[in-house]
Amino acid sequence: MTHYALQGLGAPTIHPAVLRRFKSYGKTSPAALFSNGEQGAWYDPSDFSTMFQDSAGTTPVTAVEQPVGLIRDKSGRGNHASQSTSAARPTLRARYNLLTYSGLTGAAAGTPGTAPTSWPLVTSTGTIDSASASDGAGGNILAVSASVGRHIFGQTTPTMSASTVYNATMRLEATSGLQFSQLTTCINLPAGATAEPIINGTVVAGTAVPVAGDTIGHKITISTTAGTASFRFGVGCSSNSTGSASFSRMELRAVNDGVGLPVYQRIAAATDYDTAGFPPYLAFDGTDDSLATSAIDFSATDEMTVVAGVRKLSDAAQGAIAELTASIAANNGSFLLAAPDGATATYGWDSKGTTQIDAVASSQTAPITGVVTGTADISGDTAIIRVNGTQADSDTSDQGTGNYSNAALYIGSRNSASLRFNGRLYGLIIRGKTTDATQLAQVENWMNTKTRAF
Amino acid sequence: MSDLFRTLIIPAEHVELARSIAAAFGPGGVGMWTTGLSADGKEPATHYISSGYIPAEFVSLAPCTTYKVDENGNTVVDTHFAGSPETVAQYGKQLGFEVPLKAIQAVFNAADASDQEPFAAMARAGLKIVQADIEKI
Repeated sequence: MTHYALQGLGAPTIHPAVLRRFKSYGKTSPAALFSNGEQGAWYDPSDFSTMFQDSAGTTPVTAVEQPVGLIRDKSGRGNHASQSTSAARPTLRARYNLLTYSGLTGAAAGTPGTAPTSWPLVTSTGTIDSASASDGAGGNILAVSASVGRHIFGQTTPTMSASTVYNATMRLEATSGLQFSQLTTCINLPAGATAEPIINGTVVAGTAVPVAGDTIGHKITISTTAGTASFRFGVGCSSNSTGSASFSRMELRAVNDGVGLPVYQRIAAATDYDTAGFPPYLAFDGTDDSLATSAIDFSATDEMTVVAGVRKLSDAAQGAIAELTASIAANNGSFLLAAPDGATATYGWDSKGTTQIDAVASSQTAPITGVVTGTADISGDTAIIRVNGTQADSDTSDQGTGNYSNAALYIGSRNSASLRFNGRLYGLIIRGKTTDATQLAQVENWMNTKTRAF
Repeated sequence: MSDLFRTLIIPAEHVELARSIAAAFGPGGVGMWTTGLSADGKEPATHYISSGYIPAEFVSLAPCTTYKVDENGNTVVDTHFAGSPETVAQYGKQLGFEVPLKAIQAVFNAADASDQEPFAAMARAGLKIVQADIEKI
């Protein structure tokens, strides 16, 4: 604006409606979707006040790694979702770094010294010079040295998924000038996998010499075989060496797991980790977890909008993110949002008046994060699936007649019995109405602030 | 005490009794072991799985094996707790749910109870989820 004014052109005029829309981009509350009495539901796992560990709603969820037996509907319609069976409750989680004890705690100086918790010494002909609590993130900086020797620590990674790229990294706090390959290795990889040296995210040669302050590690590309690897660091990782180095902030994360998240997540223990900046989600285990509502009366509408923030962890078998009625195959007036839509790299959106139709988003290989939207109009014979704000497929076949059902909504399964969803749910909005393009984009962007998919 | 995470795999021949025992411990135990498993992922189910957070009082009585991954990437047993079938039998008697101790012992002996994530436990046991044939349009 100043630029225009300086040229004597005055301030540009922006229509107030456009300005409101611009300001609300990605911030519009989904509550607006229900302001005219629309039937539906809105579940928001980032809002701890809506969740309880038990299905009766007596024990609040107060932290991550707690079961969620009840999540309250924020639409104002009272369509709360619950699970009475303890073991079948999803878990509230915000875990992104797959390593444990990432802060190198529990170590003590000495020769060989005490190795950090969960990082045993693999070879110990050197010294831990110090283990000070000063990495700036609640963990230690571990200083190691060797003289024509090797002092190496290692952790076997959790299972890494097939066809996925991970970064296994650490911060190099100080160094005497050792080559990369003497500071860290990643070995015992699954069949077909590769590990390339990286410094500050760039692939380098093993002979590269990182400097203090660099983030060093390995870009691990898992092929078709999932599995673990041995992630090691210290002095003399490839052969006897003389020198010293200091390390902190161990991290292992899938590179496609969230956009714009903090680069390091401190994991003190399985239930004790940093959550600031890491979007929370309901973790559905793919075996028995699910939630369900009482009957939701959609019988006055033949239009539907479903928006879900998800991370699909497997393509091995069809999984239900949300399904209205016990089974769309058996019941008229149903919908099903699926991840995947079969044993395929897909998302699926099925709608049915009296005839079921199916829109499929392909090339969605798990593990993958997305804001997945399904819209449908039974009498209008449309079913559209969108991924990350872009239409991926549509089906305009005849859906038959009638409205949607007055029936239970199942989340994470079909009828709490099959089609178990293996993945994360960052949020879910169900609205018994189609949604115009502008409002849909706003809601998808809002959901993306919870999901960090794009 | 907080709920604790467990994965419990029960052979099909013991699942009815296991369901009854779990249900006796309260409403949160109703509805367990509904997901069938078999070696090839096809019917009939030879085992059933439940995985998630379960009440601490049940955890303290049920068997559990903990596993760890060694430096070579092999999954090895870390600790093993056989459970307390005697206490379960006594508790059942108090609730009017009388089950012979031998039957409870048989369930506990046959159970694959661990702190592993469900797919890790299934892989270790050589089992897959039984997938119903989905009729796609």
